[in-house]
Amino acid sequence: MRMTRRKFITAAGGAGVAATTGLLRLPGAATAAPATIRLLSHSSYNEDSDKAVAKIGEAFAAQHNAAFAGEFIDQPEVAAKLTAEDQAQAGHDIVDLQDNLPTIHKNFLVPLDDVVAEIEKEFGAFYPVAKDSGYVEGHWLSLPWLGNSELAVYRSDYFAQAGEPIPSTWNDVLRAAPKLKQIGHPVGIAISQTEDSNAALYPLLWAFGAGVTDTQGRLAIDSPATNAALDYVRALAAQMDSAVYSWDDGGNNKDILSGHGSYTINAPSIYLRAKREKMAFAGAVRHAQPPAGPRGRFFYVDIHGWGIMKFGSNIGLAKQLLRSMYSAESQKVFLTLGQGYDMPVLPRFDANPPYAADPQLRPELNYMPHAHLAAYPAGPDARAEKAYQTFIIPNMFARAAQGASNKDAIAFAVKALTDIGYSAK
Amino acid sequence: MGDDVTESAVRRPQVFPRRLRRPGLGAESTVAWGMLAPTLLLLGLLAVYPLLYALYLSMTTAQVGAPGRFVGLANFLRLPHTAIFALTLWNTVLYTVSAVAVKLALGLVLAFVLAQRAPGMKWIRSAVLVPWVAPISLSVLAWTWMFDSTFSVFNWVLMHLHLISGPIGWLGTPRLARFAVVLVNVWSGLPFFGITFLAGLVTIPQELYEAATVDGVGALGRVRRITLPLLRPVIATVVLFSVVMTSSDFATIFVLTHGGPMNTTQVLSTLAFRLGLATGDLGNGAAISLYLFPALLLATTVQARLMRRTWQW
Repeated sequence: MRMTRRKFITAAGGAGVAATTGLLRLPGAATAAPATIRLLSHSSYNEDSDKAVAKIGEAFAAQHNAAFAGEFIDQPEVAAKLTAEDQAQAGHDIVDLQDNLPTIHKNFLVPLDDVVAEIEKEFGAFYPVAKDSGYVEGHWLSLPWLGNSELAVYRSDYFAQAGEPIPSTWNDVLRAAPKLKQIGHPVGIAISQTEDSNAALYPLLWAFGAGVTDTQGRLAIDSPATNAALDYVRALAAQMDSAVYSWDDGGNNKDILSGHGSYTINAPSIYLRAKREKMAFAGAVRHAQPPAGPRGRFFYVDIHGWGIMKFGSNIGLAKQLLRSMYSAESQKVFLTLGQGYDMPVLPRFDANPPYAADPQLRPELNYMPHAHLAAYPAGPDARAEKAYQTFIIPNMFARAAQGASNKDAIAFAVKALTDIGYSAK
Repeated sequence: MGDDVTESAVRRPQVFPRRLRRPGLGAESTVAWGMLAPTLLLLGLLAVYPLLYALYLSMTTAQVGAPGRFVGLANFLRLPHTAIFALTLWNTVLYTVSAVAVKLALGLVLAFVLAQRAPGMKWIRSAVLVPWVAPISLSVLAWTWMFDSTFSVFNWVLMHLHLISGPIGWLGTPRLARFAVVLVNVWSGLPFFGITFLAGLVTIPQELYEAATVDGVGALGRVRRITLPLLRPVIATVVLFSVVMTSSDFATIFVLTHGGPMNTTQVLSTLAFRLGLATGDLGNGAAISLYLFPALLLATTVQARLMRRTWQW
């Protein structure tokens, strides 16, 4: 039969449409394709953490005639991507849910009560702070996976040079700060629109007896304790470089790793980088528990858990993968590659993690039982996420440190928190 | 010229290609609509539907996973009373006006320079386009390094020249941070202005300049009386595009300052991202992103009308 140009175009176009819409199936082509479990996660500052997740996922996929596709992106983009996927009702099977996100995306998440029950039966209960994040309205919507600590990170040689002991309290930090500045190695804590600033300043606020809310979620920022915290940060900021007002999450890392900074609040990523790259001063980068204030010592943590989306096409397989993440073998991979940057959320695995052998990471032991989320002392919700995402607490401190009165700084915070839904009632 | 246009418009039905009017292809209008259909379909799917959906969301209390209820213009009326939005709106206007004004002024200067005949000018014209064609997120990352608090190349140079004693917090001081984001926007957008103005410049007949010179008009006079009036349609088009693109710029702010310090560089697009996408507050997020839509629509309409005017020389 002679194929005219018109017939060719008609046939090719029809085939294209059929292939696109799935009407045309080549024999055996669809049935042979293995299921692909698609996972979305934040990209860790400790790059080996991503490798650990990929390794566990790929090992599971190999055992189940499936494929594993992990996507690791910046944390703020994870939150945005989740919203987009919810709206589109399409996307990843397994997603990384930090802190408040299980509450926000609760309508799209498959309950994981059965998975958690099996894990807790075998290994015991999760830490309370992990449950705070993952357990929403009577169901586990997120399987807690890891916690990222916020420790005091310091250069022991600079403190020795300044003749100061390692700070145990915020007052110790303030006493040492002028001496450290004088020797050219100032204290540096981010007071800017970045997650590290939230992570340092929320526990500082708690240590002074203040907080965004009370235990019932009522607005409580306007208090004498907040005034005391503002006075403190104003005094400390005077001893720091003005660069702290512009730092992003890498700011304090670069400050210490460049040899300039002497003290900050951060996860162990600074030490791990110095150690991995065999920097000459790696041995002098030490950790301590976060400083205590007048009301005690408070530990801030970011909890990451895994959720399964209801619109995912591999819910059963995804549940099996999550279950497999809590085997002794998977936990060994995760904690070894995590190197202490990632902390376990099950006490069973926190008893003697591989990184405990490193004396410089020992301050992480016994951290998780006392840790809190940013929403503390209330539970996680959308308002807490908005306060976190719009950096209301760092901006309140930045205003005070850059000349505003306590009254004005608190008034700013009250207005901003009220605008996003908090109230004193 | 105007007469020609009118004449050709009257003749249009007769000049439609006769070969297309064949049996089986239907009436002329059917063919026209058929040819337009793919474009209209794409526009409908990719522009009109998202816009209408965003408009609908902006008039609801929708949160992610909860459709919310219809509240009319309540979101639009409430937002200006929130501290962060009022500041953000002001930032957006300031950012747009400053960046577009600087790009307009420097763009004209750049076009005049590029219009000169000099050795290697062809290469220079190509090189000028580099900031515009470079991926914005990558170039902003480079700027982030240049403004970096620890490794700023600007600070390094200034300190080695003994012009400053300590590092300047470029992105930590409200005024400097605002200057920095405008500078980066101007850097990336200026080539578009310069090259487009250059294209307009070369269409102006030299005879006009020669006649003006013979009449004793000076250089500035020629620019004011010939160049600028004849460039007006091009200027209007470029400014229109730039106002729309600059007011919705996301990458420059998000990568360079995250909206800080103290939200002094926060713009509508980044705030909509923070509240609408990152925290799932879809109603308010949509309202924030659409807030300037009526003003931009009005500006677009006015400028489009200006552009339709007939220009003669």
